This record gives sequence, C-alpha cells and structure tokens, in this order.
Amino acid sequence: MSILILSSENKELEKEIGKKIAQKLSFATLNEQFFNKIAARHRLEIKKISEAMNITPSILKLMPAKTWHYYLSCVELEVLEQLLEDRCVCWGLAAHLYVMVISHVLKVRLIGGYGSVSQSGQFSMAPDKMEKHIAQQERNREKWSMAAFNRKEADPGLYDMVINLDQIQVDEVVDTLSMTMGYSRFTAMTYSKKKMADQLLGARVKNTLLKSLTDIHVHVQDGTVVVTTSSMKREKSKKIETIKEIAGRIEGIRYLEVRWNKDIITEAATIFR
Amino acid sequence: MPGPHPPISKIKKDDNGSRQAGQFDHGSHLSKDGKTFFFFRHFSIRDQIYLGTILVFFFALVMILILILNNNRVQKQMKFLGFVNDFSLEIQQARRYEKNYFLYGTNLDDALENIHMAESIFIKESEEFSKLLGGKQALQKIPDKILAYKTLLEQLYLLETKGKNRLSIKSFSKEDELKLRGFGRDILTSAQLMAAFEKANLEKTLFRFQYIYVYSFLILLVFLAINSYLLVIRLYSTFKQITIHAKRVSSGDFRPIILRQKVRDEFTGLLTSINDMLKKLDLRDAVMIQDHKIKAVGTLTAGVAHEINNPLNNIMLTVHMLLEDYNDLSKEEKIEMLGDIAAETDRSKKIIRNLLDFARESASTMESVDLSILLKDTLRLLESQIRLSGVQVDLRCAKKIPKIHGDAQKLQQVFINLLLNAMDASIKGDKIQVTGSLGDKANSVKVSVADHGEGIPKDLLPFVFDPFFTTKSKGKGTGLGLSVSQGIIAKHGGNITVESREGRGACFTLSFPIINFPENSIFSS
Amino acid sequence: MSKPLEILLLDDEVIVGKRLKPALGKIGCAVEVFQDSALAIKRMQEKEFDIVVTDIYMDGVDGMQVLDLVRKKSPRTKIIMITGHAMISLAREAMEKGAFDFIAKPFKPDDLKAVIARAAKALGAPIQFDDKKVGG
Repeated sequence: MSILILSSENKELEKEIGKKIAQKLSFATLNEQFFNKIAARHRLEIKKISEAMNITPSILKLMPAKTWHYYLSCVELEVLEQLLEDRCVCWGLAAHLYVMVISHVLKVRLIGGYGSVSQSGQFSMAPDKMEKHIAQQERNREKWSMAAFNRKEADPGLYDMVINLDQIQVDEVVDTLSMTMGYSRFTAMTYSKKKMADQLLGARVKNTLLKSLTDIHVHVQDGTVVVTTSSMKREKSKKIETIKEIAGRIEGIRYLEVRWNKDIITEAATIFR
Repeated sequence: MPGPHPPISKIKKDDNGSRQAGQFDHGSHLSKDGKTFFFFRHFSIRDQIYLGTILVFFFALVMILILILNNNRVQKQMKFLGFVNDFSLEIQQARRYEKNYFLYGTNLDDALENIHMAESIFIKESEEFSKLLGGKQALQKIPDKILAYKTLLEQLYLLETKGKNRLSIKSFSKEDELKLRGFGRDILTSAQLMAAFEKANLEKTLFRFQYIYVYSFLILLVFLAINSYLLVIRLYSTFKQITIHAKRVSSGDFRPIILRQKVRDEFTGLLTSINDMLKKLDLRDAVMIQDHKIKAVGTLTAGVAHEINNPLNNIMLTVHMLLEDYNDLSKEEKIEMLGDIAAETDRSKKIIRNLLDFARESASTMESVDLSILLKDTLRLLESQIRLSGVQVDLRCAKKIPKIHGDAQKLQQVFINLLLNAMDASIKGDKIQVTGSLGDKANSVKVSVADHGEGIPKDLLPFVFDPFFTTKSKGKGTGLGLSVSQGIIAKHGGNITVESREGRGACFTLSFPIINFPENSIFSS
Repeated sequence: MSKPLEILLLDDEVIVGKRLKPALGKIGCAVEVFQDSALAIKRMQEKEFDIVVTDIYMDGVDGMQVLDLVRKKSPRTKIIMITGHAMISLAREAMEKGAFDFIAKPFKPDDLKAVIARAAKALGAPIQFDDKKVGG
C-alpha cells in the first residue's frame, strides 16, 4: 500500500538494498532499467535519457537546455505513472524530488558505505582520493537537482529518513525499511492518492507543453492546473494561447490557468538564442 | 519612558501618506533644525573655553600690573625712607656739633656743614617731602625751621669768625641759643615723625601686597569655578538630553533628536550627524519591518489557504448536491442551498480580504484607530493558526476604548506577532487572554496579550526585545519579531513591557497615548 | 440491504452535515450529524457506529482525540478524517492512529461516498455505489 524511494550516491548499495526490500515485500521495482520503456514510449534514445539524468546543461551545450528539460519531463511523467500503482521500490530516478507532498511515499537517503564497496572494485582508489571524488560527485548532483527541480538532492530535510551505511549493515537497512514500510502512516489514502494524481496530471501537462515550448512550470491542485511561464512581452498572448490550446486537449484538467511571469533575465537570455 | 516627543499631531501633518511604510518624517524636522541653527548665535564650547582663558589671562595681567605698581611704590617709599634717615642723621649730627660748640666752642663749621647737607637732601627730595608732608602742617614748617636753624648757625659762625673768641660768643644771647636748640629739636622731631609716618606707610603698602595676593587668588579661584560650573552645566545638560534621546532611539523610535539649545555649538554638528544617522536607521528599520511583515504574511497565507478550504468545501458540497438532486429538490430547498453558497462565498471573500488588507503594501498612514475592531480583525486573520494550535483566545475589550492615532497595518503586525508568539508558547487547550482597556496613566490605552505557557526565564527577560534574540530553534524564529514590534510601538509614542513568571506564562502589555482630535469624536460609537 | 450503515458525521461546519446527510442517505446510510464534538462523543458512548466521519480541527475535543476514543472503544468502527488543514504530517499521524482514510477539504460528495463504500466493503456489509471516479 505504499512506496519506497531510495536516493544515494552509492549506486551499488542502493541497488542491492532496493532489490532486497522489493523481494522481501514482494513489491515492484523501478530503476534505470525503466529507461527502456520510457525511450520506447516517447521515441527517445536510451543513452540520452541517462545522460540527461546525470549531466547539467552548461555553456558547452553537450545537450541543449530545452532537450534536457524535455527528457527529464518524460522520465518524470513515466515514473509518476508507475508510482500511481503503489507497492513499489524506486531508486536512481531522483523521483523523491517530485513526490515531496505525497504521504504514502517513504523517502530515504542512504549515505556513506563506500568502504564496503571498495573491496568489490568500484572505488579502487586511495581513501582521500575517493573522498574528493565523492565530494565532486555530490556537487555535480546538487547542481543537477537545483537546475532540474530547484532542490538540493542531498538536503536531509527532503527525506523521511537518512541512513548512514557506514554504521548500519545492508541487511539491517533492509529489515528496518521493510518494517517501516509496514507502518500505517505510510498507507495510501484518498488525500495522498489525489495528490499523486495531481502530480501526474501536472507532469503530463508539462511534458506535452515542453514538446514545443520552454520555461514551463506546472502546479496542480485538485485537477486545477496552473501553468506559469515567462516570455517576452510581444510573445505573451501568443504563448498563453498556445499553452491553453495544447493543454486543453489533455484529459483530466478541471480548470486551466496560465500565469505569466515577467522574467527579465530569461527575456534577455532568450533574445540571443 | 522615552523622552519628550514632539506632539504626534505634527507627525500626521508631515506624513502625508507619500512616504514609505514605517518611515517617519525627517525632512521637515531637519530643515526646521537647520533653520533654528541658522538663526541661533554661534557660541561653541570651544568659544566658551577660549573666552574663559582670555578672561583669566586679562585678570592675571591686571593683577601683575597692580603688583608692579605696588612694588614701585614700596621701592619709592624705601628710597624715601633712606633719605629721611640720611636727613635726620645729618640733623642729629648738626645738633651734636652745635651742642659741642656751645659746650666746648668747637665743631661749629662741622655743624654748619651737616645742616647744609641736610638742607641739600631736603631740597633734592623736596618734591617727595612736600608730597609726603602735604597734609601735615607741622611738617610743613620744616624748611622754615631748617632755614631759621641754618641762619642762626650762620650768624653764630659769623660772630665766631669776627670775634675769634668765645667771649664774643657770649654776645650770642642765651635766648638765641635756646632758639637754635629748639629749632634743631623741632627739625629732628619732624624728621623722626616723617620717618615714622613713612614707615607706617610702607607697612601699609606691604600689607596691601598681602591682601592683593589673597584676594586676587580668591577672585581667580571663584572665576575659574564659575567658568567650569557653566561649562559643566552646559555639557551635562546636553549630554543628559542626548542620553534620554539615545534611550528613546534604542527602543526603536527613530524620530530626530531636537535639543533645547539656545546657541549653536559642537553639539549642533554632532546632532546633525546623529539625526542623519537616525534617518538612515529609520530607513533600514522600515525595511526590517517590511521584511518581518512579509514573513508574517507568509505564515498567515499558509493558514488562510487552509482556512478557506472550509467555505470552499461547503460550496463544493452544496453545488454538487444541487447538481445531483436538482429535480428532486423543492424550490425552498434550492433557494436555501443557493443562499448557503452565497454566504460561503462571502465568507471566503472575507477571509481573503482580511489577509489582503494586511498584506497590501501601503504607505504609512496615521489614522484614527479603533483598537477593539483592530483586535477582532486580527483574531479573524489568525483563525487558522488559532485553530491549528488548539488554544483558546479570549478577547475582552472595555466598552469604550478611546481611539488612538496610529498605523493600523503596523499595529496589526504587532498584534499578530504577539499572538503568534503566545500561541508558540502555549500548548493545546491553553488560553490566551487579550485585553484592551484604559491605561493606568491618564490619556492612555493599553492592550495586553497574556499566555499561560512556560514563561520567560528571569535571566532572559531583559533581552527579549533585543534584535536577533530568540529562544526558538534555528529556522523557526528570526528573533526580530519583538524588536520590530517595539520599534513600531515606539513610533506610536507608546511602549511595550513584558512580565513573566517562569512556568506561569508571559504577559506583554502595550500602552498607547490617546490623541484628542477636536474634529473627531474620540469615542467609538 | 438488511440494515442501513450507521454513520456519525462530526463537523463544526453546519453545511457539511446538512448536505451530506441526504447524500449518504441515498446510498443506504443512516447518518447522525453533530457539530459539537462533546455531544458526538456522548452519543458514541451510547451507540456503536459503523463509520465515523470527523473533522480534525474543532473547538474542544478535536478529531484526533475522537479518533483515539473511537479506536479504543470500538475497533471495528471505520474512521474517516476530513480536514481543511491537510498536511502530509497530519495525514500520516491520522493513518498511524488507525484512521480508515483521510480526505482533504474541499471534496465532492462522491469522494466521500466512494470511501464509505470501501469502508462498508471492509466491514463486510457492501453497499451499492458506483465508484468509477475514485480508484480503490
């Protein structure tokens, strides 16, 4: 009746723990392997999806910001659709960043645990070097999550639980989390399901709009969709019209409102694009 | 208690609503100050010190002059005394010789020589002598007597040289001899008298020296004392005034300082700088008040967003039931339901409007404020927070609280802050007592917010109004609420106090002066 | 359809009871409406309800306390919380305390009907309600 989302820089242990819990609770799993399905459904390149999930668009423009946002939105949409069916363990998809408000999702951050992996070969480097490497990785993730969702992925405030893998064994983590998942407080209810449905609707609207437009923020409450965008003044009414037309075709919207944010920086930046 | 305030009605005049929130008018005060400074005579502390020093210098100069003059006189008198002494010695000598002559017939020429010497001394110093002898009739006769004495001696000498023996001297009558001796004695007496007189004079002069010293020293001392006293009084009274104002400023009232000064001095410059600083502080304060308000609006918005769900839910349920059962419902039922929708829409509007009224960015407008209405509005605005915290807020207002003059929005900010604090301090089921009543002092109103929470520890009590002082956990409180509130209250000419007993709760009391407006009735109808 | 589902509805908003009572009546529920939690509790002492629907923030005894009381007194009673102050922590707390469901205001009558239908099913006394709109 609930969902577990794991987040960690330690991909190996995250995967191990995720799989073990899913097995123990006989839950579905949701991870990078899901990129296949996403790629198929949206006709995208798998390689590019995982690239979008890891890099932040920069001036070097390995991937244009527009494409990047669209790819992320595809992942978000598909992941949310999967999460609508609860009983699921999800990791490696940064999904916790868009299900913040949903009470039946247990969000857990796993930190540390590199020591145990170093023997297996992933990080066969000196401890101090490894520390630097991890710090660099964390900075990259922070940059990514700030650019994508305006949140710091490592912020403990975003999680229900933070577990230090240096101090707690994998099996203990599995037991603890399995037990925690059994708490009634993480049961799905009308309120949280509605929130999830809203979130999915928002992701769908955003995904549809990002096919042709940029700079789209969507907020949904109870089927009421508010799209916030910014554009140059002369394009304002045209853009709003476009948004209304595109989004109007999406099923499940009870009320649609488009808000226009006058953003000088974006305005200035988009002129020279 | 803050120091003397300019009448608040003046603030109203200055604040034509064109200024930024929370900012009181400086411009007119400053320009007024400037004008008065301009018209005032300039008499600085430095000037006063210089003037004192110059006066002391002149006084010392005069003293030295007097002493020099006195000294001169002493010197003259000493010299004169020497002459008188010489003179009397010569006369004495002359008389001795003259006596010798009468006894032994010798030394008559010596006597004559001596009397010549005495005469020459007398003539040489005749001016001095005559001046000295001015008043004394007896002494005025000295030259005559000398002359007579000399003449007699000369006669004698003539007789002697003529007769060349002592017998002829016998012709020099006994009477003449007596006369001669009498003159001699008279001259001597006069000289001695003169010497005694002059000695007395010298003593007098020397004595005068003494009291000139003592008196001038005393006068100097008194003068210095008066000067320092004036200086100290001037400095002290100004410092005292500045201290009073500084206290007022520290309580958050940034109105410019106006000193009761009669003249321009160093403090005028200092004051201009301080007032300049106050102006900047006030600007910053206004920004801080605004920041704090934005945070409060954030808190309230979250509450209102929830609070509005109740009327919305009522509307939604009613609308859906109307849709569902439209054909089965009687006309009366339909009308009742539509009436419910109208009423609930109205309720939503009120909830929002209350928040908007508070959130609206408006210029600081001083108006007549009815505290009991303002308190009621504030409680309505906080309905959601009150509901969530599970406390009971009991508002008790005396029937006729006179209106005060103030900025309703800012006062509401203070009430919201105090109430939110009280709610934070309370636990579910506690009661918060809000009271509005006439103040203890005449012409004042007071509002108190009392909770029954943990209270404030005694050692922390003096710091609660300090900026950035907070007992709340990091991220929960900025520690600016009470400091900002104090600033706002101070700007209203009021004050805020806190009483607390540990474990028994805390009570914040605000008191405001009542301002009477002849054009308005001060009592709320 | 032997015996109607006994429901106690507690909300200090008068309109909630006024509208929901006939709405639920139509799907075969006997609804007793209360605005005052103290009176509702008194009534619950006298009678065991199948379902209790309660608001959370009310003067006096609040919904959470009602939840505790009902859980203690009659464990089989399903409790549905409705609140305008829905928050993730509040929802989790209600569920942990044994609420059957948690609904945020504003909601449609059908939303509640769907939940009541599920509760009835869980009680072993299913009622007729077509809940296509709300997923189970």
